[in-house]
Amino acid sequence: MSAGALIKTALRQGAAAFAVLAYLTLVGLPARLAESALSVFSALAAALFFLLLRRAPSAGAGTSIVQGMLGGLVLGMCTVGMVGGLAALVGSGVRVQQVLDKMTPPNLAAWFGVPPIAITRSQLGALELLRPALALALAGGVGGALAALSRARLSLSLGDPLRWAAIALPFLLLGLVIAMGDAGFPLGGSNRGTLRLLLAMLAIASGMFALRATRAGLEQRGVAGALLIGVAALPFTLDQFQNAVMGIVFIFVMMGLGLNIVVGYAGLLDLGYVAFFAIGAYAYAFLSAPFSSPWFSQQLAQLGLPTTQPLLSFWQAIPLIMLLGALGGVMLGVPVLRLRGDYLAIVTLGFGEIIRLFMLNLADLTNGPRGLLNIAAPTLFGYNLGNPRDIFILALVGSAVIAFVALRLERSRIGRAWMAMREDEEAAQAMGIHLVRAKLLAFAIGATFAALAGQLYAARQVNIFPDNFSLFVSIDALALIIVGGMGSIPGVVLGAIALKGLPEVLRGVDEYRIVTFAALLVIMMIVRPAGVLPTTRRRGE
Amino acid sequence: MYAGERQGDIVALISRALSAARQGGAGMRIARRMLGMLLIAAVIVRAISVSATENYPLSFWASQVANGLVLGGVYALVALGYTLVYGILLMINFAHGEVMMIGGVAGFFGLQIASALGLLSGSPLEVVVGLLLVLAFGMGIAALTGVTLERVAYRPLRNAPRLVPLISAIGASLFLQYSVLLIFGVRPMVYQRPSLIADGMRIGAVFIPYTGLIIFLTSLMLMGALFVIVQRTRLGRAMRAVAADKDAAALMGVDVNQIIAFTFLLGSALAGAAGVMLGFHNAVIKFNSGFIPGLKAFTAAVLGGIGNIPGAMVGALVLGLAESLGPSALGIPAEYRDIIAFSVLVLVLIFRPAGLLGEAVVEKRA
Amino acid sequence: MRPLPHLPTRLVAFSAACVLLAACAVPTAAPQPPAPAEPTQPAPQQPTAAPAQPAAAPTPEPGKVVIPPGGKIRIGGSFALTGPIPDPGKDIRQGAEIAIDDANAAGGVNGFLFELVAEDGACSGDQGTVVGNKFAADPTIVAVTGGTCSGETFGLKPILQRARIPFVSPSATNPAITSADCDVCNRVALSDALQGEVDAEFVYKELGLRKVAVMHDSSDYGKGVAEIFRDAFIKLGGEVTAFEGAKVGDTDFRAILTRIATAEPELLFFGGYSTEAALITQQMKEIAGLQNTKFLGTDGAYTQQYLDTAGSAAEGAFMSYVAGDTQADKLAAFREKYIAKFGIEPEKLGPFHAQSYDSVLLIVEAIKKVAQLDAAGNLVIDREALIKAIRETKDLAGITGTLTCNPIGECGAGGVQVFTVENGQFKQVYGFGLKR
Repeated sequence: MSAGALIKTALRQGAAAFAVLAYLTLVGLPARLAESALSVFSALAAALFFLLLRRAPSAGAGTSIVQGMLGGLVLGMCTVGMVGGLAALVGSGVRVQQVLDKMTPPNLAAWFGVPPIAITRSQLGALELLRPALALALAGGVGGALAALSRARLSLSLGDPLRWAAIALPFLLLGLVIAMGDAGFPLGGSNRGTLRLLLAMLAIASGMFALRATRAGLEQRGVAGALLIGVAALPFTLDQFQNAVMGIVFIFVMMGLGLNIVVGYAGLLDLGYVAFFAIGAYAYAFLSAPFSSPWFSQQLAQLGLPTTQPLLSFWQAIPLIMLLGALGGVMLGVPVLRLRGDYLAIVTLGFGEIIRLFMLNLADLTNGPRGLLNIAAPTLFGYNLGNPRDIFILALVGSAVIAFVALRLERSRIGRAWMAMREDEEAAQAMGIHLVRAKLLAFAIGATFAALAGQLYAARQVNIFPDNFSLFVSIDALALIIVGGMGSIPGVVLGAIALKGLPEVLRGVDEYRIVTFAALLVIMMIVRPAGVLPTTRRRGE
Repeated sequence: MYAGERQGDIVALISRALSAARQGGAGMRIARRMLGMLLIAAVIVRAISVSATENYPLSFWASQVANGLVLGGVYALVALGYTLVYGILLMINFAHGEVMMIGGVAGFFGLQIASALGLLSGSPLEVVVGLLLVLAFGMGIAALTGVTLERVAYRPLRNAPRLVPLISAIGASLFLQYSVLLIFGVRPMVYQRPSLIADGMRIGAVFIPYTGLIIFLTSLMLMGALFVIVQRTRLGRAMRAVAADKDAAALMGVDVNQIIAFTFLLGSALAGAAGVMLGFHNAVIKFNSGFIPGLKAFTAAVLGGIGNIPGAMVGALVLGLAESLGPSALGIPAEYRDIIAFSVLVLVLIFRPAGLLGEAVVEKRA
Repeated sequence: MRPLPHLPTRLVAFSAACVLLAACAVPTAAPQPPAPAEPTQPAPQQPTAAPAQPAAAPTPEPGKVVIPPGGKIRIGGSFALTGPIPDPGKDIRQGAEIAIDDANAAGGVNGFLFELVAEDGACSGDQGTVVGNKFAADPTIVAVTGGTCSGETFGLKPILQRARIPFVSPSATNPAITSADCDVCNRVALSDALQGEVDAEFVYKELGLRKVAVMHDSSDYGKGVAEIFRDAFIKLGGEVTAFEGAKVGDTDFRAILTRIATAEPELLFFGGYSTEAALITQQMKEIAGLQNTKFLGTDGAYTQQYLDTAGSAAEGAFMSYVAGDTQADKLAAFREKYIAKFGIEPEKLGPFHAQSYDSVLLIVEAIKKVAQLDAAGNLVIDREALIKAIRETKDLAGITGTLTCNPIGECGAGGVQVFTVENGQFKQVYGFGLKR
């Protein structure tokens, strides 16, 4: 490789890596990492150069390392230029923070390993400036060496033993989670609760992988059964916070399974799915807390009925709410029968917003932005099921039932009709599929499941507000089935864990929650557009 | 998407017409028309009865029309970018509203620099030049963002199923919003209007702010320019070729990547202009300023027939007018104006599924 | 047919990503003292290494928080750091941090220092529930300051009530936050009910206006205070010509304002936050029929940001605020520390920093009253005693005034003041503590 090409590549790759590090500096990460900032960023730089150089066409190990070091040097010089320049500005009394919110002295000082006071007094020596540049150049070299190594690596294929290991992993993790419930367990230290939650989620996620690794038939059913028992043990061992997070994860599994029927099976892109979730939640709220709706309590008073008690219990409300959900689905379905693709997306989005705006503005009925309060928790034989553990159990049972129904539907006549319709509507119609019926059924069944999820959600929240049913819920639900893999039931579980569970584990990084999640979403789509666990059918294509 | 490329799809058109006939038939279509007429009649009756009871003066209606046209102009500037990208790539660039917001943020800093240099306190000519520089700065940064977005988040997904780039775009939208929040902090950025454009025109009791006038006229001009670029220039021909068939266009010697990048550049620059002008008009830009206008602009683009440039303009104006006139004409609280906007969309799509100006669009990719 | 080797790779990559993300969370998580066993579980055996370590986990006692020597007194905080109004949320968090710093600088309690465990309540009931459960599951959390928004606080309320953790909200103003059946619910903010009524009196009696229009931002706060104002004004005998809602985040109010202008009201009342209030003030000047109409905003908009955004259009506008009496020196000292620590003036972010300081102060003082050292040198805090102590707070000198909690947990001090904008500054013209 000629020197010119080498330098050109180094400039390009250095600039790319600089963009990443500059971004992380601007959002204030160095201040968070404090003294470990330089080492963390060096490791990150090494990883970046590894990724950049890995795909390089058959270069020798030496070239790769030199290339990495040159790139690292460019990166180091750019970074020191930017951070040093900002430090000089801060040192000379310019109020940089007025514009760049996170450019505090501690943030800049972390790069150079000096106390913040050195920045405000502009006491940065050449040595301190040189250190990050050299560290980043070195990191580039390490990245290059790693890239050279990876090109020479041996391809491992383990086959069956690995498969069994994948099947065993969830059970090992579940065991670990249960063991961690014991106070004497020596793992976790200060962050134990979060670690345990993460492990519980990982156990369920790896269980979904394990299901995929099994051979269809008895083996798969056996593993599924064992897994169900293992997961069912979780609510009894996790603490309140962990149960609360798992509860919301599985409420979203219920919702995701419903949306999976509409989008994954039938191919109807629905961006307003939250409408049915809201219908379920508000319907249950009206039934169980009519006193917090001005209009309802007035009507009840006129009819001479008691206004302080629920009209129906949680269990009695279920059939009614399923019916309402299905009706809502058909109501949305009828007008959009003729629409396809993106038009369908925007109309459903509008529908979802209309429902939310009605909840916000029909203050007489829904109490407007102040929401419906004191919704009753489900009870069973006089035992109150409102605590996070029991809600988690209810969500698990709900998810299992819905997953079973969805699985049967997928393999039924109507399921095959949906998939034919998803691939090509005209061809499906030519084959004798009744499009109107198939579409309406998909909308109605999907809406029913979402309404049930909404009912459980209302019971969990106790108080609900229109803001709980914003467009973001639809987006979350859609994103989770896409992350998991469209049309795949284990994918929905995995997606719900990744989208609703992981952000809770990331609570420690509070303000970075949403950007991390958003970046993950983009990266995920680029690296694995078919989802983490695509359907077998799709994989066969 | 654009006129003149549809002849090849006659077979598909015929099959679609046949299927439509099978599904509903002529009777169904007439029934739907009747229902549509009935609805329109009901709205008109309601509007007349309300205006009879409320007795609003004529100047009130004129003011609301002016408000609606300005609002429509804002939506149009954003909707043009949506429709352009959709026309070429058949993908919804959900992050388009955020590109607009970034244009507004850049314009804010440009404005600070310009006023620090004293450009905005001199003679009217100097002020105009200064303002144009601020606008150009905002457009430039927005265009850069748009092109980067395409390169990083969309190009790798060009052959993926349609939902995949949509999700990537949703991720990009959130990422841009919250990055701006993290980097520049939570305070809203406040545009200080130079006195030249601070006032407005008075026609009787109707007041039209200069900023609003500028937005409306610019959106009309840009729509014209865009239409000419797409329909009359070499580049436009290449864009239409890419829209019709990427592989065939590549075979004919069109650099597809370059054309798509150019499309994003054009659309994002428009959004950047919208961001800066919105900043001057409404005074405030925040990290989430792009989301709602983006959503509305998308609605406008679909309303007019997505992929159709004059359609985006018409859709945006209809939406703007519906939002400003609707609540008063129907005699309902202003809280319901978003419901009116979305209801108009749903109704139009039910009765004219391809949008107001869109023709029956044949799905090219299932 | 079955590309198996892929699966384990994907699994490994997925787990690696998760672990990496969790690792990111570690440096920010506060170093916890060796956690006592979770109360939901019977803990039969203690760590066997216990005798060797001086700071071993003490045996948990039901209803008590036991902090070993060297541990910290952990106060949870639910703040709206993301969501629709991150500005005031950040301000409230920073105000609380200053209060913690002050308490620690004064020596803490018996040598034990305080620590703020900040969580993002995101101004939503949903996140409030999650945060509440997180605090309830953590046996080291003594009390909670927050939430920022009323919806968020409604999410916290039932969970903390069950977990017996008292909370003091600095800024949730919905009247239903405190109630007779909730003994852990307290707030420093004054309920919307008070402000709306005083505002109506000011307009009717002081300004002598009879015809007003009312607007709100459809948030629970804005709509709540607007409704109370409307009802109070009608009760006084005035006429309300319009009651219209916009949305938080709206920037173009011209259509609504044009409609309001047709009835030619003498004053426009707006319940909502700074940005919307400032834009409405600006756009009113453009609408024929509203140019001479006065403007009255509420405490959510009593900020420097309102003045900055509205600019010259703000001259003559009225703004009501809930404040204390003679604590100007305390506020100045607070402001100085705040600027030194965060590099920004608190008023630029939001209106509730002083309330936030006081809500932490209230908790800290109550803890000082009930905390006791046991024989092993552990600090023991009885939860029920703390709940009682907070409710019995009397004559506590805070920044916003002298704090006294009433039987249902309304601890806010002071009263409603009305300001007008003069030469870009707020100047008090009416209400509590005005010196003529």
